[in-house]
Amino acid sequence: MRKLRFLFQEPGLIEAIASDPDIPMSETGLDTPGYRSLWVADLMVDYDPRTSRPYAFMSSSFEKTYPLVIWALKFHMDDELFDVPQASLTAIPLHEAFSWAYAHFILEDQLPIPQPDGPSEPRSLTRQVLRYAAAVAEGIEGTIKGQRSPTTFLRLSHLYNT
Amino acid sequence: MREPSPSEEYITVIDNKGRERVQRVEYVVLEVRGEKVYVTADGLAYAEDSLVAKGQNYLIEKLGRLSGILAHPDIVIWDPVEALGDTLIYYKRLYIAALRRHKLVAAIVKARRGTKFFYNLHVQESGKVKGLPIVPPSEIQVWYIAPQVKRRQFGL
Repeated sequence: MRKLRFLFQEPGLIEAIASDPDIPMSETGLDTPGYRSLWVADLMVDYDPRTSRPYAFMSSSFEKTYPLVIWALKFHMDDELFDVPQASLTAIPLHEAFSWAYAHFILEDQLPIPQPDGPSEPRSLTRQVLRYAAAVAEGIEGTIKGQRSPTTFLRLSHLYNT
Repeated sequence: MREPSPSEEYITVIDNKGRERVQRVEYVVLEVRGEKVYVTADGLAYAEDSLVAKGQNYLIEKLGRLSGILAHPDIVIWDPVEALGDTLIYYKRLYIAALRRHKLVAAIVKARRGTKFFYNLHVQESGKVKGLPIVPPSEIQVWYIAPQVKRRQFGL
């Protein structure tokens, strides 16, 4: 299983880099294609040429675009699980890892402790973060340029619950 | 590129909770339009950590030559995700000796309260600026383009 490491810089630059302990880094370095926007404008992805798998993910305005970034990861990259040692999380999908990163780096661990949504449902950081986004969006006037309106955040949150 | 004057040795960056964060300036670059860009220790440290983690150590030496990227870019756009005036992205095609090939490199510069500071450096896919193809090319604002460069070389 690949390990995910997050890097963060104020106010909202976040990168997640996936590494496979079974594939050592070459001495000359990785000759990657470079970042490109994928699914949403602020989610940039680079590929490991040795495996042709995405290995670096960047959002440079994550404090604003996290609902879309997290939703895109849930929708398009839900097929691989990662260990995140810096969060002491194991075998989680990418959207859960980014939800942890949002709660940790942006909210500085101030997100209310997630509770299980039901007796048979595991607790989901993504659900918590999208609910938070919806609650915040209700108080926002205007939109984020090139992204979605608060109404869309609400829809994303509600859609997650269906 | 020059050393910061005594009044420029530190800049204040507002974080996402509105708090003031003081950052030490390593050097000052005059970018292509003659505006000052402060290159801070925090910005350089982040970019270096990021490049090492991604296995792109060959770009670290370019961090010492940011002035070449910022003063002589191929194209500069406003980040299409941000409000106009918030973030500029400087793109320049550079020869990477370790790889024996050219790469498109992007240097991100944030502006806060009239102060521009270096934010990150990364490899960008050739022929596509940030946002493409999600954002229509007509919605991407070009801030500068070098005389010999065509917009279509960057997907615009």
